[in-house]
Amino acid sequence: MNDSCASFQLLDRLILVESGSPGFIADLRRCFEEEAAQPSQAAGSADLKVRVAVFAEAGKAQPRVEVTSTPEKALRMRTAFTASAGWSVARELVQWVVDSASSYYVFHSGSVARGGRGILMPGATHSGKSTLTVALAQRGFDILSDEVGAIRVEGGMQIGFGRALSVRSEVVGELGIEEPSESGCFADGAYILRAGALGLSRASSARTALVVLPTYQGRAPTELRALRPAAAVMALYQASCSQPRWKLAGLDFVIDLATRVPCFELTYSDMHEAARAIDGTFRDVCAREIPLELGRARVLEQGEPSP
Amino acid sequence: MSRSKAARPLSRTDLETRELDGEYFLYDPVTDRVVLINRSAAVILALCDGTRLEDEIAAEVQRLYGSKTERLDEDVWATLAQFTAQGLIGAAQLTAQLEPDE
Repeated sequence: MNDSCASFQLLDRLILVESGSPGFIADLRRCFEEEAAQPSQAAGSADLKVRVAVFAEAGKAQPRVEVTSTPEKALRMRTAFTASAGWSVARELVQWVVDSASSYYVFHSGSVARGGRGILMPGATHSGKSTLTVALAQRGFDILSDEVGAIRVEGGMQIGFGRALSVRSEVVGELGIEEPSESGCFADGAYILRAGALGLSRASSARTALVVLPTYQGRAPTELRALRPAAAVMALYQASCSQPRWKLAGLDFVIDLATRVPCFELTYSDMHEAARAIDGTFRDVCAREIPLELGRARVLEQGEPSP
Repeated sequence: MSRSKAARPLSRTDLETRELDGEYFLYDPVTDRVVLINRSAAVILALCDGTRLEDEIAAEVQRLYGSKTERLDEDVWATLAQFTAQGLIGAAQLTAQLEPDE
């Protein structure tokens, strides 16, 4: 594995990061689920190339980090980080991808799937998106993302986003996750964890079947209530990351989503109860859907075994 | 800021409207913000064409809904105040300044 550069595929963007610091590259790799390709292959076709310089400053324990990008492919500049450099750069890369993704409408949202159908969980910071994503994955859902709920505008499929999970330290124990021992896996009060390391599976895409808007409230009983479509539109709109790009077309997209897909608001304090409630509602919603392969149905002959 | 009932509110013409189940989304292309209003508020906004005084808007709403109450007047004025706060009726304050005192 090359210790001076790493490449990542996020939605339809290929990013190449180079650094003279092997420690930084290793740190950055932990922030994404997987690498896209051999860096040598990525060099020619990358949509964004970033160079990161890491150096020590006199009298300071933490390294100083400077990020530059190729001028024609602008990345918002961050001139100095003193801690959690890998995670900080990873967040910038994710933001760049979200801002530049022209074929996707993106929500600040958890996103899971089962049987080809997806649940979108848009919410504000600390609403429990990552926690619920992991709790649902522990119930057999596949993870698309704990933070970036991307929907391909053409066709409406929910698409996986390969950033590692960010699980707040205070819920790690409740989720039954062992605290990772690797250094550099802790940033912003959360552990940065790959799904595979937790024994959880990932999906690449799904058709959105359910929207759940979570709000964590200490000691609140678990309550999942259907939202009227107009209220769902407003909540989805507030959780949008794509509005600056999509303008009125974005509102139309959100209205279309809220009228096609059942939307619920969730208040909870117990993540496992909440995951159970979401799972149950997801099953109900899927059971009400008309089977996609109805056209293949036929009446069985008397005594013919069901296939 | 106090509001004058002598104002002739004028709704912005650049707002985009979408209807869903009897509620209306007003999309502001300048701020990229969306405001959700119900049918009654949509009626009030439609009456903000720059020709009616606020009192006349309230009277028209009462005529449309077939009731005359002080509470309805207050609701109309409160709604107009919200429209102003949201920047949906741009000319109301300017018009108010031009109106003579009653």
